[in-house]
Parts: sequence; C-alpha cells; structure tokens
Amino acid sequence: MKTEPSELFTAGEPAAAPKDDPRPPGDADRSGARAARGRKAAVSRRRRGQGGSGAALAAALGSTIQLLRWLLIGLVGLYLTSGFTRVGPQEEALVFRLGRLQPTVYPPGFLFALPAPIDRVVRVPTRAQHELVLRSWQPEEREAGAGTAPTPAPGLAAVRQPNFNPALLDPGRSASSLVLAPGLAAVANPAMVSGRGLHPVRDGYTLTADVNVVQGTFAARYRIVDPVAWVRAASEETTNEVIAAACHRAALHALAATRIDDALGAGLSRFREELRRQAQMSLEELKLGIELVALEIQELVPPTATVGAFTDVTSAQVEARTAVEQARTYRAQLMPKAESEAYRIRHTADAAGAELLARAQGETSAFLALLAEHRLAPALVETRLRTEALEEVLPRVKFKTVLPSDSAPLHLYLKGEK
Amino acid sequence: MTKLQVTVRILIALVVVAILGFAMGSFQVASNEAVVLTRLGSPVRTLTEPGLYARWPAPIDAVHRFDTRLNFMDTRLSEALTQDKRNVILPVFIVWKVADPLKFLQALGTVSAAPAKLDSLATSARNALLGRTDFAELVSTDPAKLKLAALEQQLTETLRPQALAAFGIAVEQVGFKRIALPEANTLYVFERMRAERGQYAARYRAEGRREAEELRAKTDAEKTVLMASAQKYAEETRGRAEADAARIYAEAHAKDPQFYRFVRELEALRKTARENTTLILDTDTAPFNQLKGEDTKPASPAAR
Repeated sequence: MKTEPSELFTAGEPAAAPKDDPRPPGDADRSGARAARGRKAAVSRRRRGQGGSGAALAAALGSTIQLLRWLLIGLVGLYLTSGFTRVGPQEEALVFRLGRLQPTVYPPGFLFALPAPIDRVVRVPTRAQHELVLRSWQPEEREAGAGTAPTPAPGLAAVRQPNFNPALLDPGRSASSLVLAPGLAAVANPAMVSGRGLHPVRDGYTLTADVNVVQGTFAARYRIVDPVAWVRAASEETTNEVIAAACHRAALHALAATRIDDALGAGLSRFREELRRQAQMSLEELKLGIELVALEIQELVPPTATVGAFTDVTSAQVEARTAVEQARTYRAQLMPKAESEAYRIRHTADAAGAELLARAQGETSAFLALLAEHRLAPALVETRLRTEALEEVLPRVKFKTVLPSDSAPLHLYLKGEK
Repeated sequence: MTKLQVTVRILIALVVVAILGFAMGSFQVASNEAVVLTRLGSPVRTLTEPGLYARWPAPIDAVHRFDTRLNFMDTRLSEALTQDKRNVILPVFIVWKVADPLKFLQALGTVSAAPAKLDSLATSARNALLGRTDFAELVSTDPAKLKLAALEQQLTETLRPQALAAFGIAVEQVGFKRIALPEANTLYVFERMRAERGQYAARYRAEGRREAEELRAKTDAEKTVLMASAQKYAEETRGRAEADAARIYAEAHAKDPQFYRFVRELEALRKTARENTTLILDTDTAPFNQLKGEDTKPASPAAR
C-alpha cells in the first residue's frame, strides 16, 4: 500500500513534467511555426536533390525528412497532452477555459486540462493556513535595545528585577505583567529617557479611548475557503494587504473605545475574539472568499518611553500584594500562638483552681480526722502535734536562743569589752 | 508525389495558417479582467465578459487589459485639523478596482497612476470630514460618542461617486488604519501617561500598605481580645476556686476554731522555718513556753 502513491507519481512524472506550468498562449503558435519552418526546409532540400546530384544524397535527405516527420508528430502529441497536470496536496485548482473561469474546483491529484491557449490552470493553496505577522505598529524598542545597548542597562535591569516577581501575581494580573515584561530591559535605554516623541511615519501606533499611545504586533491566520471567489477578487499580494488593513482597522476601532488598562490587562483575551470578528466582517464586505481563522495579539504595549512608568505600576501592585501577604503571614503566625497561649492560660487556671480545691478538701478532711482525735484527748493530741512540729522545725533553725522574759535585763558583751 | 501526399501537405499548411490566424486575430478575456480594444488608437469595444474575441492583427487593433481584481492603497500620511483645532494624523486605506475600463484607460492609462489620484481625492474628503468632527469623536471612552465607523462610511460615500465618475474606479472599502498625533504632541501624551501611571502606582502602594496595616491591626486586636478573655477566665476560675476553698476551710474552722488555729499555726511554723533561719524568741511565746520551768541557762550574748 505504501509504495502505491510513489509509483503513481513516477509514472505520472514524465507526462506532467514538461508542461508543469500553464503555457502562455504564444507557445502553441511557436510550435506550429517551428513545424512549418521544418517542413519548408525539407521541401527546398528535396528539390535541390532532385534537380542536381546522386541517389545517395536523396536517400540521406529522405531519412532526415522521416526523422523530422516523427519529430513533428511527437511535438504535436506533446502539445496535446500539455494540459495534463498535477494538483499538489496543499492546493486546489481552477480552470479558465477561453478566459471564462469554470465553477468546478479540482481537488489534489491529476487534472486533465486542455492544452494551453484553451485552458489555463490556476492553483489555489486552499488547504494551507497562511500566517501573516503584522508589524506596522511594532514598538521600535527591539532595534534600539539590540543596537546600542548602553553599559548601565544591565545594572538598572537588575535593580528592577527583584520588584518583579511573577510568582506573586495572581492569574488575572499576570497577563498584563507578562505583556510588560519585555519592556523591563528597555527601562534603562537612554533613548527614551531623553524623551523623543514617536514619529508618525517611522513609528506605528494608535490611540486608546483615554488618549494613550499603544503599540503592538498581531498575527493573522487565514484560509482561502472559496477559491472561485478569491481568484475573481484578489491577487495574493493584495490579499495580504487587505487582511493586514482589516486587522489594523478592527484593532483601531476597538482600541479607540477601550481604556489602556482594559486593553493591556485582563481584557486582552476578550478583546481578541472581538477583533477577529470585526476583521472578518471587514473581509466579508469585499467577498474575498477568505476566512480569518485567528487573529492573535502577539504584543500590545505602551510606548517604550512610558514602559518604566507602567512597570512601576506593576511593581507597585506586586509591592502592595507583598505587603498584604506579609501581614497575612504575620497573622498566620501570631494567631495560633495566641490561641495556644490563651488555651494554656485557661487550663493552668483550671488546674490551679482544681488544685486549690483539692488541697482545701484534703487539708480539711485531715483536720477533721485530727479533730476527732482531739475531742477524745485534746491535751495529748496538742502536745504530740506541737512536739512533732518543733522536732521538725528546730533542727532547721540555726540558732535557738530562748530568752526568759521574766529574768534580769539582758547584758550584751561585745568582743574586746571588759 | 501521390495525390494523398499533396492533400496531407495542403491540410498541414491550412492548419498552420489557421493557427497563425487564430493567434493574431483573436484574444481572450479572463474572468478577472476587462479589456478595452482600440483600433488605430481609438477605443472600439469594452469587454468585461470573459471569453474569446476577434481582433485585427497587431498594428491595427490593440488590446488593453485591466485586472479587475481588488487593489489596495494607503494614503500618504498628513496632518489634519479637527473641528476643535487639534492636529491628528488619520491615514486612510482604500480598496478599489477598475469598474469602467474605458474611462480608466482614458483618465489614467495605467493602474500605477491610480493611487496618486485616489490619494488626493481621499485626503481632501477626509480633511473636510475631520473639520466637522471633534477629537473626542475619534477616540472616546463613551462608545455612543465615537464616530469612527460613521466617518469611514461617510468617506466611502463621498469617494465612491467621485472616483467612479472621474476615473472609472469602484471604491470597495475605505477605512482608517491608525490614529496618530504629530511627533511633538506625543511627548505630552507620554508625560501625561507617565503622570497617570505614577498616580496608579502611588494608589496601589497606598492601598497595599493600608490593607496590610489593617490586617496587622486586626490581628493584634484579636490577639489582645483572645488573651484578655483567657485571662478573665483564669481570674474567674481562680476566684471561684478560692471561694470554694475558703468555704471548705470555713466549714472546718467552724467545727473547732481554737484547735483549727492551733493546727494552722503549727503548719505555718513548719512552712516558714527554713535552713539558716534564726529565731529570737522569749520563752513566753508559744510554743517555746513549753520549755519554761526547765533548767534555763543564761543566754549567750551573740545574736546572729
């Protein structure tokens, strides 16, 4: 099965190859004229041969004529089959018959068209998707940045970088910051610090609803869906120009009604589908037979001169989020600690209370037990208790000095005194 | 030479002559083109239908072919004043095609001559329209005020009859590709943009700080409340326990106050007397009065 198509191609090649391009109308005339010239020469040569010399020359001439005759037949045959052609896998073919475009669309494969002045085959690349990158609004930062990279640039870029932490951004905001990201390096470009304006011819841009300047690149992908309409309506070159214009026009209209923040930020994706729809409408007005498959906004940025300010806004957002995150972290660390501390306090209090109570109960019940004994023999119990207490206490006390209260006044003799 | 040979040769000659005649005396008009046939310089036929047509050979008739497919052009950039006297650059693109080949041939001759003519037509029409339009109608945050689409429409309506009448050109589409400002003005726009961004940045920072501060303050407040309530609970619990204990002690005390005091005093004595405690007491003091009546020695003078 695999070898079949290649066999088909090699078999078809010799027939198709010589006449791959549709022949210009004059070609057939030329071959006709060539044939006529050949015949005339042959006739004159034969006349000379008859009038003058030998049979050998006549025989030679005869074989030449024979050869020319076959050549002529071969040429005629070649001409008649010259319309046979092959349509490539990416394309479809249309036929102009005597100038009139035939409505049949020929799919890839062999096409048996009539020879040159009658049929003209036009191939239309319908199956391929064509991509068109629209750079006429492209910011010039790239050329400027690449060409004259000044020494302070890396340093400044490095200073900026820490502020810019994509990980801290939420998905909604990351769209805008990613768009802004390429501008980071450009912050350091002295060209914009000097404050050069945008020249309307040199620099492409348009205005937003709030009169801000935006630049961008777009990529349009299109397909030829109606080859007949397309062949009638436009050449390839015009098609590209018209599509580019339609896309720019759509973007201009959309941007003229959109604030810059909505265009650069999260609104970008919503914007894209609207652009494609507008551009497609614009193309349909012209009946081009073209479908705009996609219109991608590759880049939509503020001018390089203000990128620094835009980046600063992004950094400010990041900073704000960082500050809030830090406060959240603080809260996340502090609150559990406080909670456990409070828990501890409560439980310590509970325990202390319980202990107090238990001690009171213990002591009380001990006392009550003792009291029962005491009632039986008060003096004995008291003496015993007192003695026990003194036995326990007195050994711990360093000096035990007991002064009789009713004895003579106390004389203190200090050292060295007589 | 046989009769057959002669016939064949005559036939071949006739075919050759027919081919030559066909080549010189006919021409085709394709579906996407139009032809003006001129005879000795003056136009005799205008052919817009595709097909095969007859002509006189070269020096007599001439075939002027025009591609009737679409052509595209941009106007040159030029400044224009709006009604409120602001300079804008609003380039126009035109998609056009040859509609009247005869008129086109007479007025312009070639396709390459058309853009310049259309340019001046379009530029003057656009300037006239802009003179009646405010800048705020070109770019506006209020979609109801925006007149760009209407302007394109008006421009098309103005250009279409003019181009057809003057050059035989059908204007298929007119549109704006961009709105630009003179170079000097963009500097002011940048200045304003930067100022605007500065405000935004300051606002974001301030908001972030405020939010963070609020969160911290809230956290601190919550912590304080939490601790205070725990403290309160602790105090209450302790108070309750004290009260209960006091009640229990009181009950015991009530049974025999004297003995209770005696036991408590002994207890207190045990607890207060530690190592290195020096006691100076007279023997009247309980419990040392227990020692009285014994053989009392005179006290040694040292009191330390």
